[in-house]
Amino acid sequence: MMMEKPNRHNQALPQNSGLIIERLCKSYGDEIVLNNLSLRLDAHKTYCLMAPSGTGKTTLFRILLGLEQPDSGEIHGLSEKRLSAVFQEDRLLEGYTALENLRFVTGRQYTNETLTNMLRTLLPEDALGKPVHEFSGGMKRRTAILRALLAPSDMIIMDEPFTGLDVDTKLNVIQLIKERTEEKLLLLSTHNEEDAELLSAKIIHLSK
Amino acid sequence: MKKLSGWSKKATIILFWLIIWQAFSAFIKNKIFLVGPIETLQALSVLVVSRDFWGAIWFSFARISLGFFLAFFAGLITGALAYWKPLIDEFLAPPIHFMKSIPVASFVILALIWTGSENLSVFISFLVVYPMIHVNTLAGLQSTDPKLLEMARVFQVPIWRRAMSIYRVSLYPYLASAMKTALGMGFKSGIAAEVIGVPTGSIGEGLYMSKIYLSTAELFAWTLVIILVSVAFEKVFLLVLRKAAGKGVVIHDDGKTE
Repeated sequence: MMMEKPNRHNQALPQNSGLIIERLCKSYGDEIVLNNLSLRLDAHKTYCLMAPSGTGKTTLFRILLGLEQPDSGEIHGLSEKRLSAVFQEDRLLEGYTALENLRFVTGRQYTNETLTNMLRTLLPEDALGKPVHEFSGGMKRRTAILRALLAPSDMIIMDEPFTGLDVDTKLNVIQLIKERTEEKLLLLSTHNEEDAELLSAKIIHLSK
Repeated sequence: MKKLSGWSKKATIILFWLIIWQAFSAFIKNKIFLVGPIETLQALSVLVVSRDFWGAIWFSFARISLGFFLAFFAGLITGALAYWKPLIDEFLAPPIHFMKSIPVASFVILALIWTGSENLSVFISFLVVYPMIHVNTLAGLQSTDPKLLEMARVFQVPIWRRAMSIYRVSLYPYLASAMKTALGMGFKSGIAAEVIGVPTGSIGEGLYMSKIYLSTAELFAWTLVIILVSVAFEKVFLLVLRKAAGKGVVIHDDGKTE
């Protein structure tokens, strides 16, 4: 367990705090993507964003990840969090093995043995020696999810993490996600209410 | 007729042209205008046993490769700087463009005035190779997948690990293709510079002497040597470059890299 850094920015938030999003706005040209979005997220809970396409879900994620700037609004409790993510695309290093992809984000935090054992729970044995570009779509997705779970983080964002996974592997993955995010704030998006239930996630609806 | 493939096909084609070459030289019957492959090999066999020959190869090879290596590392550094700060790119653009467009011969004369003939080929191979490496380093870095860079940023991956796992991989195909052109060009212009400057004990001097004595066979022999040396250097260098790129480079079935 990592020690939580004390929060110096907002006295109203307790230590080891959650996330408060206030009146967030973002537009691209004339198109308003986020309009006065306010959310309150607790530190150790799982939230499922149910949002039809075009409701600014990916934009919200990108702002939280620090990849976009909002036009206005405030986010409290973000600056002291270490983030991790499953992007809409897998974004793996295609020429490297799954182990090397994990190593890329974890550094020396785990032994090779630990990482390989983690991979074994999600990937077939013969995939372990192969570069990721030889993987099937589902195998890449599982590697990307595992990478997000193992990277040192306080908050994990997952943008439709279960796309391309069949039912059995999805249940497997959900089990692993629940185990590894107990102490973390997990914010994910999906189109499927069932996924949210399986994760015992609080559902947030975003609408236009 | 049975279809030939691979090596046997290549060998047959080469043999065909060698026969044409030999036939031409037999037809012309003038050892100043044209010599055949056999006379070339004879001239080479005479050269090979002399100590000056190996000395000349070493003299030219060492200088041209030195210029080449200096250009390679300088190009990598300034290419990376230009990628890092677009202002540096704009600042470097005029001299790079200048180097690319000035005829090699003008540089040779200038270098003769500045440095004398001995280290002429270091300077010339540097000037020819450097802009290519710079331009391709910049292009390779700019071809890096922005999505991977965002990923690395989110996970706060240290810059050194990003360089080794992301930038190095996207740089490789650009550098490899630049090398293939630059190596040949570097050797050819390095030797051309030596023919103009005639440094003592160089391959260029050998070529110059064969001009003085109208010894076409020797000219051909030297030419063959230059080709062999530059091809060998190219193969070795590309192999080293491939090793340096690491295993992250994706090579497709058609041999192309990503």
